[in-house]
This record gives sequence, structure tokens and C-alpha cells, in this order.
Amino acid sequence: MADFHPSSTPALQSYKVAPDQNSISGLSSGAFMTVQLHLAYSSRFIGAGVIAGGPYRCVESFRETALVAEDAYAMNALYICMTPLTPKTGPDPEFLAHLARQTANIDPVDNIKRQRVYIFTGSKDIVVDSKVVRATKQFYEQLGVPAKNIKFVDNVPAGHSIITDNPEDSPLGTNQPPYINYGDFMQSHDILRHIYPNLAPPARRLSGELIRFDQSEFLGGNAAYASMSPFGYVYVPESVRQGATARGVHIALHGCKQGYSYTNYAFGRADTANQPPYGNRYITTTGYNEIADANDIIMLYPQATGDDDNEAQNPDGCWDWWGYTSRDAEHPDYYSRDAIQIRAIAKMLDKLCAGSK
Amino acid sequence: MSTTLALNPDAAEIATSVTVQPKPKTHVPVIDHALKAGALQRNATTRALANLAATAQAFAQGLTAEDMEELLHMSQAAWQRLFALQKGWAQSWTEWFRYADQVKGANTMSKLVEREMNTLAQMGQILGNQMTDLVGLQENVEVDYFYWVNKKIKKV
Repeated sequence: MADFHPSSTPALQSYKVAPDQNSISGLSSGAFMTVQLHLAYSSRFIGAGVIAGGPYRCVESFRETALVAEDAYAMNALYICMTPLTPKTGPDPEFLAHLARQTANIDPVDNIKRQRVYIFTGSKDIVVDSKVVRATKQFYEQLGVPAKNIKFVDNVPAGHSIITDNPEDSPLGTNQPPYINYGDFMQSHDILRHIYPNLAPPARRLSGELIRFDQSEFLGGNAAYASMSPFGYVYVPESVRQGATARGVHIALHGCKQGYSYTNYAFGRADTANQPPYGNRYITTTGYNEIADANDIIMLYPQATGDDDNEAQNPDGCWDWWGYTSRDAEHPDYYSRDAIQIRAIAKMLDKLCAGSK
Repeated sequence: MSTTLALNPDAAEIATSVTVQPKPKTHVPVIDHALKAGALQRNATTRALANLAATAQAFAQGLTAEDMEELLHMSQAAWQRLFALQKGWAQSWTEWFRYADQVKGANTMSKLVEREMNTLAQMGQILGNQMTDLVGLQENVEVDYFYWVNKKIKKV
């Protein structure tokens, strides 16, 4: 767990933002968390982008897997929600949609019906199988999202990754960190264009500012269990900084091993002598900022962190979609407005939008 | 814990501090490892027994042709995963042999020792990965089958 020392890092600022025109997207664990946040705070969002992620509360598909709840959720995560052998042993969209409707302490599920959702699975993804991502599409359909509002892409021969048009990124079909692969398009642009129709083309040169902010103010007394980094990042277009009203806030959630503070563990030891060279690539090179800049959208990049020996047990710095932050594993709350990470990100969103009040 | 709180007039304050600051762990690592291994082994045994009972129940209830087809697909998928793993292992060993075969560039004793240790470490890593992959596949098959057969029973 990273230490949360008092720092001179500025606090997150507020801006004028159009009400409830926000959206969210993520890759892998960030995609699972995207679905959770989308459901928990559906009244604040107009859409979501899910790259290689599974449906809501997927790890609760089969509690009988193990005697102890933590073990059962971990096994569900790995073998039902990531690599099921067949569609019949993967997530059951009908059951999970029913579970979502029964879930307390989230916004009314009917809000989801009006949302626009982008869902992607690479046909060479061996980390989160395409069968799982198809279940995510069916899950949203079960919740009443009309077919015209769902853009489902499964015909790109990509591995587990967010796709960019940067030639220095990994080859398209690979499944390896930093999970940023080179294709012939910017996936972030496709996501935002689907959620916000009629966007202007991305800016060639950024006008605004990428600002580091202190995440600890959003964690309260839960920092030890939150598995979140000291810093988060926000990109604010220049016009918004000058007082124009932003079209909305888009939250981009990185996947495992993609946070700025991620450190690889080799044989259980933190490999601090060989920090990966991609610490903030998810924030700076995936194309989100360019299209946000041209369309007065604020980008928010919350950051998760990992440690192999902390309270959270999250060595790869993943977002919590299997309950590692829950204080009572038998009654987990990782999916609701009570969840430490979900609450923290929602507070960040509140603060960013507070300039309109 | 409850006794301590009952005797202590500052119980509420202590309770608050416990929720904010986790107690440092007091444990003996060797015992922890043994306990964890035992717990996971119990999980696996319980799951295997439950699998057996569920399978017997499912067959007693009668499996349809569609069920048998699903079982066949599951089995094919497991074999495909195993073949894919074997392909990856073969590639790892090919690369290892290539590395182990090249000591020409080691011009000093320290460099030679480093290379020999690297060769051993790489071998250990490949073997460790193979073991992890195999155990992972075994768990994957167990959990998926258990999930599937339970759904069949509940459906009936």
C-alpha cells in the first residue's frame, strides 16, 4: 500500500459542467468497475464504454465454489468471469440482471434503459474471454438498453488491450502488459463518439492542462483498504479552464498493471529497480485527451495501486470487482454506492462538477 | 475482544480506533502457510465430493442430448486449453535452450557465474509457470463443471 503523506499536490478543482452528461469507460478490471459505477450511479451517466469486461456482480455467480467467501469470489472471477470453458459455464446475463434489479443502495436500474453503451472484445483476447464480454452485452439488453444504443464490436483480431494508432505500442494480437496495442484506430475516440454523437474531430495539439490531484481527500479513513494511489489525474480543456461549461466529464479507468504507480512483482518481490516504462501511458497516449480537448469534455483518470502484502490483497493494482475492499466478505459491498472505490470516484465527479452550482 | 471492551471504559474509543487503524498482523509464517494450504485443500476436497454427488444426482435425474453435447464442448475446450499451454511451454523451453547454449560472450568469471545462475533461474521460472498453469487449468475445469452441473440440478 502506498503511503499517504501530506503533500503539496493540489486538490481537485471544480468547473462548470453540463448536468448529468457524464460517462465512463475502462479496460479489463477498469471495465468491470465501469459497469459497477455505471449501475451504482446511473442517474449521473449517459453512457459507458466496456473494453474486455464482464457483467455486474459476476463474481457472485456461484457462491458454492468454495467454503470461504473470499476464495469463492476469487475463483468465480478467474474461471467464470474471465476464462469460462464454454458459454454455459460463463456468466449468466439473465441471473445477473435479476441480481442487479434486487441490489440495494444503487440508483434505479431503469436509468440504464436510456444509456448508450460501447462494448468491445478482441477475438484474440485470452485474459477476459469473448464469451464473458458477450454476456455483458446480453446483460445490458436484459436491463432494457435498446439495440440501437449498443455498439458491440467483436471482429477485431486484438488481444487483451485498449487499441491505439501509436506504432510504438504492442502488436495488436498480444496479451501482455501494458495492454495497450497498436491497431489502425483510436479506441477511445470510438467510445466517446458512440456515447456523445456528433463530436468534433480530435485536437491535433492539446490546448488544456493535465493536472495531478490528491486522491486521499476522497478516501476518508479507508486509505489502507482502498488500494488507490496517492495521485489521480484530470485533463481540463483550455476553454473549460477559462470558464466555459464542459459538455460532461468522462471517467477513464485503467486496467490491472496500468496505474501510474504499478510496480511489477518478480518472484514475489517488488521490482523497484526496473519500473515499467508505461506508468502514465494510459493517461497520456490512449487518445482520450485529444478528443476531449476538441469537445470540451473533462477527462478524469482515477488511479488504483497494488501491493502483494497489504490489507487489500491486490498485487496487480486492479480495480475492485471481486470484493477485496469489502470489510465483510460474506456481505460484500464492492458493487454499491457504499464501496470504497466507487464512493471515492463519485466524490471526485461531484467535486469536478461543483463549479456549476 | 468483547471481554476487553466490556471491561474497558474507553471501549467506544477503542472500537473506533480499531476500524480506522488495522491491528498489525501477529503470525508465524510457516503455520500460516500450512493453514492456508490446508484450507485450500479442504476447499478442493469438498468441491470434488460435491462434484461427485452432483454428478450422481444429475445422472439420476437424467441428462438430455443437449446436456451431453454441452459436456462434450466443455471437454473439447479443456483439451484445447491444454494444447495451447503445451505450445507455450515448448516455446519457453526452445528459448531457454538457445540461452543456455550461448556462453561465448561470458569473458569474465563473474559474467560466467551470472549466466549460469540466469540459466538455472530461467529453468526454475519455466517449471514454476508450468506448474501454475496446470493447477490453474485443473481448477478452471473443476469450478466450471461444478457450476454447470449445479445449474442442471437446480433447473430440474
